[in-house]
Amino acid sequence: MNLAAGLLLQTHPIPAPSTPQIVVVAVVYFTVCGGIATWAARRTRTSDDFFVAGPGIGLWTMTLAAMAATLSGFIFIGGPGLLYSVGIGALFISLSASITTPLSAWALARRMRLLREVRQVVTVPDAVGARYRSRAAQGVCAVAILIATLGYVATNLLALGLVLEAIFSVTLGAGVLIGAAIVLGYSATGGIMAGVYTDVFQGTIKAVASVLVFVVVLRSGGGLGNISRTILAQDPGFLAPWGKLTPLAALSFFLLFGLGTLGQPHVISKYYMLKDPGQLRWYPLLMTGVLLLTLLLFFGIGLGVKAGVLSGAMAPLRHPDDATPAFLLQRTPPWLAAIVFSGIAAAVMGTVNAFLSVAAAAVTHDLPVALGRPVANELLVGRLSTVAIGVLATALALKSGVLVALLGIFGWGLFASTLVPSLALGLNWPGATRAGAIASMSVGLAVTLVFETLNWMKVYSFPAGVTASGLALVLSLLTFFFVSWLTRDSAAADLDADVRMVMEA
Amino acid sequence: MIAGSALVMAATMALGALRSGVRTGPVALMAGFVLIVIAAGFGAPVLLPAETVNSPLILGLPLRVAIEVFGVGVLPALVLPLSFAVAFRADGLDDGSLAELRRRATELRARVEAGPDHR
Repeated sequence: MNLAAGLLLQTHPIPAPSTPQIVVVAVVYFTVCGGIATWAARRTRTSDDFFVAGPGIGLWTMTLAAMAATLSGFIFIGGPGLLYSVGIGALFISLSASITTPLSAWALARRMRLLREVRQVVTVPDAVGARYRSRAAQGVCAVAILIATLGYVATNLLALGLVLEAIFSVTLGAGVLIGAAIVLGYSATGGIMAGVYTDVFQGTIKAVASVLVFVVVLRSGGGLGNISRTILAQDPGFLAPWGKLTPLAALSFFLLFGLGTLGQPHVISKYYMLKDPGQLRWYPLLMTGVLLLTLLLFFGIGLGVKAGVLSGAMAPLRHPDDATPAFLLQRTPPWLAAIVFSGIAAAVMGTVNAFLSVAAAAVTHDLPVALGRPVANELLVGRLSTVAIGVLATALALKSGVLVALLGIFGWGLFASTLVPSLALGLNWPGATRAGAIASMSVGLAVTLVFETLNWMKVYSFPAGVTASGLALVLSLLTFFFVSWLTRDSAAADLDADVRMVMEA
Repeated sequence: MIAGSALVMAATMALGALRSGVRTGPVALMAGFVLIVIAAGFGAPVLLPAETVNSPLILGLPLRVAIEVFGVGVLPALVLPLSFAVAFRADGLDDGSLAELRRRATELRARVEAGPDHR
């Protein structure tokens, strides 16, 4: 499997942590989330409320919602497991976190927010359509997003089932169904409005719990220096500059997860939502801060468990993904373990909600607009689409493990290769053309689907460190520039005057 | 690959900042900072010798990993968001300016509607 995409999937059962404390905290946690979602659902009266949180949200709300959408359950389970398994090389996934938000803010924030002001855009494909004056570009973008999000929703529902299976000692199928019912309940009624406000609660808990867990890691390991010396003495390769990865693989992680952030529709669409665009000034500072605080759990548990196992203080793990559950159950107070376990479920639910919103918008808004048949009642159709996509994803998660995993690995490459050139660069370069954008998105779509499928079927595999997602991103960038250059005479005609004004504002 | 990653990230940031009306000098400083941090942060560990169990630690980490974690992972978090806050232009983002922007956009669109249809 393509490591860059495959590591985002959670398919390994989590050790059962089901204790009365964990069950009670989980029930309280979900009840609070349910209460917030119900409150938000009552405020959802229009399609704007449903897709872009209506009249807008404040800076802190946007920051925490963006953080919750960015950091899925992977940061709590798969990330520490990967770090435990391959060493420092795994950190290259998150090392770019200190650069990506300022990068995204410079490239996208102001222009997307102003585009919302002058065109009333509600989705990311809307912005692509407006930029290139093209319904076809909007349609291709929507198709790519729909394919990617369907896989992401299905894989995240499967992950949610695994978490709920562990917390409540139910079967995996029941876990998937319970999780899907909860997320669909608040997503279909409250849309992104419910998601944003539950994300504020969940994001705060995630950041605070991560800092507390990191403190426990340091105390139980005798400090970071002691942890490092324990590892250096027995497994020095773990603390080598690339860990146990090749330099190419580690650097591919850095570039893909750094530049690819510019193409994550569930995160960048939050720029539409900020009520006062002047507050964008402080967004990178706040977002980078909460991202780094929350990533402490990823870093701390990965190193702490490795040192604990090497020193004999912890039993060897059956599977790398057991790192977080094992540490929480063996080394942290029960109340903290309970909060983190609930936080993992909440993190997955927040991600599912964000993706459902993006996918429902593609079905309800972007594809009909691209076909020239806009929907009259977008709120109603949006709710129905959310349910339909959720039910389809649930069925995929329950019935077809192989297909779910295949769909899941399309996600990252599709987002990055279709949106980074056409949107992040296109909104900053008047020389980009409609033909360049459509060709670039088509190449990104085709290369990702073909090579990920061939890789999955073991027909063709790239050399170690080369990923289909990375290749798709590079080829779509080259196509974007080359075709835009070939069709440069049409650049001015492909850019409406009001959109040009936004790009220059 | 190190140079390529550094160049792509720095160039994208420079493009976005320049298009946002930031002057060339501050943009060059920010892009240069990103370029140097990534190139040096990933390049220096390649050139340095491997640590042993008795090697000195930097804030609890072996030198080469410390350069990556604190140099690439933490240092930009102290510099780039503050640079953004300082260089960010808030003009044109108040309610009055936004209303004017909407009015001008409506005027421009009215002219466009007389042109070729969307494809």
